[in-house]
Amino acid sequence: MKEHEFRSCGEIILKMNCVIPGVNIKVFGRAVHSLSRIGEELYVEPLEHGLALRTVNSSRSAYACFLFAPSFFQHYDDGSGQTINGSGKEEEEGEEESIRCKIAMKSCLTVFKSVYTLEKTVERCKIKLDMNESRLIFQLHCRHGIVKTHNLAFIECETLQAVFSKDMCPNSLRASARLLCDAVQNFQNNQEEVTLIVKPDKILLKNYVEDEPDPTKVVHTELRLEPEEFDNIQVGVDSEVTFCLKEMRAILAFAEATNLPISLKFETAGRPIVFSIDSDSAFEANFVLATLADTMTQQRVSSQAESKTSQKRKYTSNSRPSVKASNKSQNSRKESDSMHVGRANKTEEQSARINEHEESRRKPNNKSPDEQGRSNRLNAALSELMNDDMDDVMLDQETREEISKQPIPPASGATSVSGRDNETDRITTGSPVPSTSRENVSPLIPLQSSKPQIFNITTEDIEMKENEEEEEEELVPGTPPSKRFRSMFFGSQASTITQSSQKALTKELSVLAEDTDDEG
Amino acid sequence: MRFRGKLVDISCIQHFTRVLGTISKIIKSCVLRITPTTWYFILSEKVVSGGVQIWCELPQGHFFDEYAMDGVSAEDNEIYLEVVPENLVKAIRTAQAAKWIKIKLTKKHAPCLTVEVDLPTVSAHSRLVVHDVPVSVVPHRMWPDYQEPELPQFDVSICMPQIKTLRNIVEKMKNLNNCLTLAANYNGELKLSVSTDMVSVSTHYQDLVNPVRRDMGSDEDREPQAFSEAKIDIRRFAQFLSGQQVIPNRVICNIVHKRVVHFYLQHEDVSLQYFMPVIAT
Repeated sequence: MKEHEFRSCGEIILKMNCVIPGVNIKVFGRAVHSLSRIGEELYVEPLEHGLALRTVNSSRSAYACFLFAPSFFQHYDDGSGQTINGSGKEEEEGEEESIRCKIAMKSCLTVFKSVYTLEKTVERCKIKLDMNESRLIFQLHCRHGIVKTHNLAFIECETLQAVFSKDMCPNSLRASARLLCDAVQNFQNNQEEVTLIVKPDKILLKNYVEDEPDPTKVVHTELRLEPEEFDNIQVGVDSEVTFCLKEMRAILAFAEATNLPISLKFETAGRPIVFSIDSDSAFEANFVLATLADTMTQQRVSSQAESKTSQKRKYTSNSRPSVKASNKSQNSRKESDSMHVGRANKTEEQSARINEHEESRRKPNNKSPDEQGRSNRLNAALSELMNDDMDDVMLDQETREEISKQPIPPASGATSVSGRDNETDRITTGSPVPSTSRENVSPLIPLQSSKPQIFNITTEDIEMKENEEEEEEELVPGTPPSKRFRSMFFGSQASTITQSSQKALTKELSVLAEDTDDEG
Repeated sequence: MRFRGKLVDISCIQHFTRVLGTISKIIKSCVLRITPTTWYFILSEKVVSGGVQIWCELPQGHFFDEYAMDGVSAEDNEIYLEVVPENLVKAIRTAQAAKWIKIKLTKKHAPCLTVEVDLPTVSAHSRLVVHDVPVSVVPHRMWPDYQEPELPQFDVSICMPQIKTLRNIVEKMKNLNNCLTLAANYNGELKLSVSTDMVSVSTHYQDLVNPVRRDMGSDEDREPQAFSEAKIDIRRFAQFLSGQQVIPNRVICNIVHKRVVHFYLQHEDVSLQYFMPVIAT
C-alpha cells in the first residue's frame, strides 16, 4: 500500500513525510523514551541526511540528539524538495528552508507509550509534518488493519544545537551498555551526580557528595573497573569529570535496550562529556552532558577571601532590613533605565551566584551565628537553583542588573573608607573586560573568576556592606563548593528571548551561527 | 575497636540481604551491636516518641565465613554503632551474585562500615565496588539504653496466621481508620477489628495455636474464651507486615491487655522482637 501524495514539485508549503518499518519501531520508541527522561520538549527537525530528534533538559546542562538516517526508514522525505523512495540515495541540495518544530515530550510519549506492545503490533509508523495543517502526525499501522493516528500540535522553533566537538577529546572510552549499566546500578537512586576518574591504569566511578548538606552522613560509593573490560580505551590526560547520573541513566536505558556499545568522549572537568551510540549505520545518538567545573580554583579563592573576613565583620551589626527593601526597589528602577552595555561573557553560573545572593538576602535571620546552618541553607538554595529552570529572560535580567551597577560609582559620601577600598578592588577585577575568550572558536565558556563580583552599589553603603557580609558567609571555610555546570546550549533561544533581552545575547548568538550547521 | 567480616556463600549473602531488608523496612535508624557471637539490631524509642522497641538477633556464624572483632575493651568486647539499615541494604543489594562481601569498620571521612563487594563479571576481571556507609559510634555510657527489653507478663499468646493474608486484610483496613484493635484469647481465636462512626469491620481467625509458656502457671484460672485486646497504630502494623522479606517459621503475637503488643518472629536462628505500644483512647 503506497501512500500517494499530491504535491507539485515547486510548492512552497513544506511537508515532511516518512515511514518507519515495523522492525525499527522499537528503536524509535526507545529513543523517544530516552529523550523523555532528559527534556520536556522534543525538537523535531527533518534534515536531508535524516530525521533529527533533540531535547535539552530544563537547566540546560544536558542535551540529547538522535539522528535517524534515511536508511532507517522505509520511506523518507524531509520535505525540502525532491521525494525519494525506498532507501535514500542521492538527494538534491535543496535550499536551507527546512521545517523545524517542537512538541511537548509528554504528547509524543503517549504515541510510543508501551514499547513492548508497539513492537508486537505495529507494522509501520508514518510520520508527517505538515506546515499547512500545523500538525505533526504519527500514524501507527497496526495488525488487523488498525490505524492509530495521533495529531500533535507543535510550535515552530529554531534549531536546537549544543556546541561541542567529539573529535578533539583526548579521552575516550568505549564500552558495552551492559558494563556501564552494571556499574551504574551500584549507585543509589537518589544520587545526583557521579564522578568518572580515568587514569591509564584504572577507571573509577565515584558518587559526588561534596554538595550534600552533611557529607559525613552520606554513603560513599566507589567502583573500580578494569581497563580491560572496556572495548576501547584512550586516556590522553588523567581527568575527573562529574556529571548527572539521571541523564546517564537515560542514555544507558536506550543503549541497553538496543544492545549497542557506547562511546564516551571527554576532556577535563568543566568541559562537556559526550556519550555517543554510533555503531548502527541507520541511526546515531549523541548525548552531551555538562560536567562540574574544577573545584580546585574555587577553594583557592575561598581561602583568599577568608583573610579579608575579619575586617568586614564589624560592619555586620548595623544592617536594617527596611533599608534593604528600599534599595532593592531603587535597584530595579536603575535596571530598567540602563540598557546600554552588552556584556557577553556572562555565564549561567554567575547568574546562579546572583540568585544565591538574592536568596540569602531574603532570609530574615541573616545574622544567625550558626554558620553550619547557613551553609546548609546556601546549599539548599543552590540545589534548588540547579533544579530551577534557568530561564533565558531571567538570566539576562540579572546580567543587566549587574551591568547597570558596574559603571555607577559608589555614590554618596556615606561610604566608609575601609569598605570602599575593598569595593574598588573588587570592581576592577569584576569590570566587564572586553570578552575575548567567548569569541574563541572553542565552545568552552570561560569559567568566570569564581567569586561573584556582584554588588549593589547604591546610595546606601549599608547595602553594600551587607553584600560583603553575604559574600563572606558564602565563603565559610568548609563550605562545600557550589555547583558549577557550564552552560553549553544555544540555539532555539532566539524564539524565547524577549525583545529587551536580545541585546546582550547578540554576541553569543552570532558566535553560534558558525557552529550550528554541522551536527556531531 | 576493630571489626571485619566476610560473607562468601551466595545463599548466606541473599539471606543476609533479606534480613537486613526486613529491618530497613521497619526501622529508619537503629543501633547495631556487634558482639563476638551475634549481630543485634536494636531500636529503643523513648515513650514520648512512640515507645516502639525492636530487638533483632543474627548469630554471626550463620552468615559470616570470616569474622573478627575487637570491642571497646577486653571486658566489654562489644561495639555499638548507630546505623541506617537502608544504607547497608542499598550497599549489598547489587551483590546478590557477588563472589564475596567484606564488611569492615573503618575510619574514613567519618566512622564507616565499609562494604566491599567483588561483583561478578562475564570475563575473568574483578570488579570491586566499595561502599562507605557512615555510622556513628555509641559511647560506652549510652550502652545501658540498648539492653534487651524485658518481657512483660502476657495476658495472651497466640501464633499468627500467614503474614501474607494478614497483610492484605490490614492494607484494606488501613483505609478505614488509623487504629486497629487486635484481640486474642486462649481458645485459638484472633480478631482484627477497625471501626469508624459509619462502619465496623472485623476479621476473625479460629483454630490458631496458643503456644505454651513455661511460666504460665499463674494464668490457669483464666477463661479461655476471654479476649485480651490492644489498640495499635494501623500504619505501623501494616508497615511491619509488609516489610517482611523472610517468611518466618513462627510468628507469635503476645498481648498485654490494653498495654502492649509484642510480636516475636523466628526464622532459623534469626529472631526479631517488636514491641508495639497501644494507642491511648
